[in-house]
Amino acid sequence: MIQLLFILLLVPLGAGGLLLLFSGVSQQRSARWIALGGSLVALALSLQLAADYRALQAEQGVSASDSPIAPRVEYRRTWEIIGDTSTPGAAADAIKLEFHFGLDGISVVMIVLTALLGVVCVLSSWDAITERESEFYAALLILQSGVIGVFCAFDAVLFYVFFEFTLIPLFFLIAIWGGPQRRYAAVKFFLYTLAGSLVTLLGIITLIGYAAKGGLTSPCSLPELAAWYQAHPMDPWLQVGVFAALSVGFLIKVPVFPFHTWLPLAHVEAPTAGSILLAGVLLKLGTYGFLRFCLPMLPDACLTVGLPAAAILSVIGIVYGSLCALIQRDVKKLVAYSSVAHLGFCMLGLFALNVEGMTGGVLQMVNHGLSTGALFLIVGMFYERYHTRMMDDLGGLASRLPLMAAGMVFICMASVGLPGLNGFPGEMLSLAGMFKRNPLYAAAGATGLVLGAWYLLTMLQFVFFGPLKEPAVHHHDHDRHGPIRDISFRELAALLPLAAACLWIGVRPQPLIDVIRPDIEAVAKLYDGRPPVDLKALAVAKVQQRSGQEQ
Amino acid sequence: MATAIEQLTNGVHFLAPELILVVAVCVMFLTGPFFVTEAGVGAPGLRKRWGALALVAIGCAGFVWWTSDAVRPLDTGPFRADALTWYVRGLTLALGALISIVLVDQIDDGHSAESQACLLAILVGVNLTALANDLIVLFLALELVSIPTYVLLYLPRRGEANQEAAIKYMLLSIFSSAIVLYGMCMLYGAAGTTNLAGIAEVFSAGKSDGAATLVRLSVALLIAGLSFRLGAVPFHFYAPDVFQGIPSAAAAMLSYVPKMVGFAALLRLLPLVDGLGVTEAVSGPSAQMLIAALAIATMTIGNLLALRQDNLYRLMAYSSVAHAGYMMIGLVVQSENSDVSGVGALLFYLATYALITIGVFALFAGVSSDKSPVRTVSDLAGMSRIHPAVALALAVCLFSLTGLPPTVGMLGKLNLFLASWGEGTTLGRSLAIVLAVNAAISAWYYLRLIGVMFFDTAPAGEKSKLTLAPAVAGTLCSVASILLFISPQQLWEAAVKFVP
Repeated sequence: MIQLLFILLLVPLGAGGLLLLFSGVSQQRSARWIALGGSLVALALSLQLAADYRALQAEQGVSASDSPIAPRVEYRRTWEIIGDTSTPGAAADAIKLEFHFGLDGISVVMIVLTALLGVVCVLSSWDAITERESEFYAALLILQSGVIGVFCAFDAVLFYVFFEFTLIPLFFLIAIWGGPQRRYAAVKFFLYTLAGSLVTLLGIITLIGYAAKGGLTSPCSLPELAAWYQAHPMDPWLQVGVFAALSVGFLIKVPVFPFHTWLPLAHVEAPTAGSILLAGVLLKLGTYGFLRFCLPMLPDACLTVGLPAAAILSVIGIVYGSLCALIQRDVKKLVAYSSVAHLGFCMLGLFALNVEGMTGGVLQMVNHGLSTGALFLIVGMFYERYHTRMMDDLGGLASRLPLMAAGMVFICMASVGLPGLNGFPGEMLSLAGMFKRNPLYAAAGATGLVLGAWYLLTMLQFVFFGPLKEPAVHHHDHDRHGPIRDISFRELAALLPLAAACLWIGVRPQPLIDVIRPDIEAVAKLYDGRPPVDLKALAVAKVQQRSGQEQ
Repeated sequence: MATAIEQLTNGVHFLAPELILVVAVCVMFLTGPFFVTEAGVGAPGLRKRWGALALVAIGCAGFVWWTSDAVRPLDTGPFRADALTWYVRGLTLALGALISIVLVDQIDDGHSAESQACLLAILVGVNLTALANDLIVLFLALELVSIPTYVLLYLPRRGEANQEAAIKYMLLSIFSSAIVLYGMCMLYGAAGTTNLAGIAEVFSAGKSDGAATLVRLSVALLIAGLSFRLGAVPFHFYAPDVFQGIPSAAAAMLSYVPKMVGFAALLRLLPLVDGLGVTEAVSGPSAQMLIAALAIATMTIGNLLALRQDNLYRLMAYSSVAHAGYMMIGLVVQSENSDVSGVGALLFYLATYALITIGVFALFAGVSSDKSPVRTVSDLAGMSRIHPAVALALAVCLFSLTGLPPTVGMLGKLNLFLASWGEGTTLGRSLAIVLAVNAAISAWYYLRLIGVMFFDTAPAGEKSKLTLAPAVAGTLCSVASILLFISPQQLWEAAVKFVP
């Protein structure tokens, strides 16, 4: 099974490398077929991987494990031993970086999502990208490999490596094939996230260094690190410091208000495929980071500081993001702001720190990937047709493009959280989890549901209903586009799997929950009956102790 | 007690790689003039032969290095061979071969013999610095690096900028040598011997406690003089002007060799007075604080000044200043407190930085020609269309300088982070934070170069032809930076073997 994972990692990378190698000489139009082939193979492999994983899970039983992070499949190989390696004894104690790949329920789910969105991205770029095609698809596929790498890395440094690596292909995607302000957007996105993740690196290094000093021999391995911190918790104040350092990078990546300013710009300027991947999986790297580092390793800090801070920021993000979405006239920007709001729900769920909330949070990660991905896809479709995304220029498209309108209504309903579609279980579980912790935050967050319905329905009404309003057809490329047609077979092929997944999760979320539940329970167990720490009293006690020693 | 001559003859077999290079230098200097006309013009293609000869000499020296395992016990002889020597030799020979390849096409046929000979002499000087066990030998080795460097910088004679660069470098280098020499004199005055092992013995015995002020002054002078070679602020101001005027092979050499000798000399000299009991005031804290302050100033100022540069060579000069600052962090970290050796992190970083930056200059040389020189940022416009492979290799190198995966630059920075943060002191932590901030700042100007290469359109007109040899050398560097990222263990072990 681990071989399958390696093949899955290498297939998009290999296809991307191939495209890059022949970028100068190949027939440009053949690039998309290679890309489609590569991403379809990756999707098939990921589905096989998920099926294998389910079988393994059935075999091993679904009981929660002892360590908060417990991959069921693992591959470990020494990468670099940093420290004294002069004698074997010393080398065993030195800090070891490893190629430590593995799979648990959460990573399997996210990998399948990534592979699915990969195919959607290729299909959505089919006609939209006409310039430097093979390089475009190469960047897309390499990005996909990088994201899959993040989700299956179980070494702290390896995780960081993939986390950082994803910046590079996305930077090129935005900066070469983006909108008019692409250079600015790409640089802002790159520097903002890079600066954040460097602070995160300091946090990771503190985690590693503290455990290494405490005698853990492979302090970079996430499962061992988490188990070690369960047995030897850090001093609560130190936990808060490390939590803050780790959070900077993850909060920027998610992004949580007030670190979200790079996101709308990057989304608006990115090509459709870039937006789909950015919203669909790259933002999840932030929440996934919280799930892998903060929640299992720093329980006191998460409970005492993280819970209120994340909840308040998420609630602000939900309300602020929704209000911003409400006043946008550019549909793509509206969807971008809706991302800020939806990820607020996700954070709210994760930081409920109980099984319901965290299950909801992870579900919301998947849901947001599917529905926002689909929203960006449809926005891309009518942008390709009309070369505008402004609500004021468009109206009544339902009569012109009935199938597309139907798709849009369906996806909007999923995004709003209509029962029976995927948004519902995710948001409900998140809010229910938070309600158990603190009803106030949950109530405040729930206003987002109303606001979400408001802005999405307003947008639907403007763009798809009412009297027909179309911008003047651009004559210079008229010959290429012909008359405006409804959704094509290729576009349908991109949209249908997403819509089907939305419906499936909405009707039967249980199989998905079964896959992720054991891993979530393992983390949530840390918080069962854990009282919050009184940090102030602790600090006072420390000061008194110190002055006592001096006397 | 053996006489000096006896010591030298006993020590000769420790010098085999250097002797091979010196023989090659002599051959080139002596026979070179006979192959050119009186006007100094050589037959076309001559430069390739001299380049090949230099590579053969480096190859032979490398073979001897690889098969040697002579480790000389620390005694009163003029040379000592230890893990640092082994590391520096291997690194210098490998990188010297790369520089030599780049140099071949950067010099006219008439002056190629002298140029290659100077390069080899410089390499010998670097190795001798790491071999030195005596203040005199150390100083001579430093001069053996400096003097051929002046000639190497002057030989291309490409107009006024080049001459200005050569003169500027020469004057300031002599000035810094004088400062180093002054520092060494004081050290000799305090210890009464020029032998490094002897000095260490005197200081650790506490025999020279009366001369604490003298030793303190000498440490300050040595750090100042050697900072010039490292390119550390405030001794960096020559770097951009010099880099601006010289060809890329010389720039590649200047961004590696002076740093290597500077750090090798510091690694030899600082432990003498560091914590060995001269008095508490000299050892540990004061020298450590001095270097820490220099490191912070160097990386911050280097990066900030690089932001506004439009000339590629000036930009790379400031980048090399900034990287010197990162490396100095390794000197500050006290190894006993940290799981990760600071000196090991420094040596690892130095190797990877040198590899990458030589790669960058080699690629600049590869796409540059007399008709369309690549000297400013805008000269790189549209490179991804004209020479896609070169642009990709250059992008890999630049990402590596930024410290992004999957390149070895990331591991270099990670080691420094682990060393400084793991030390657990406020000083170490603040250095790590400054390093993180600077890494983010530096991303801006490296990204700018990548942006120009990939997003700008190429100017109309004749497209420059690729010079194959340097382009291949540069591409090798970028591939090596990815391979070293995947399996860094050998390099790291070689780097941490040396314990000062």
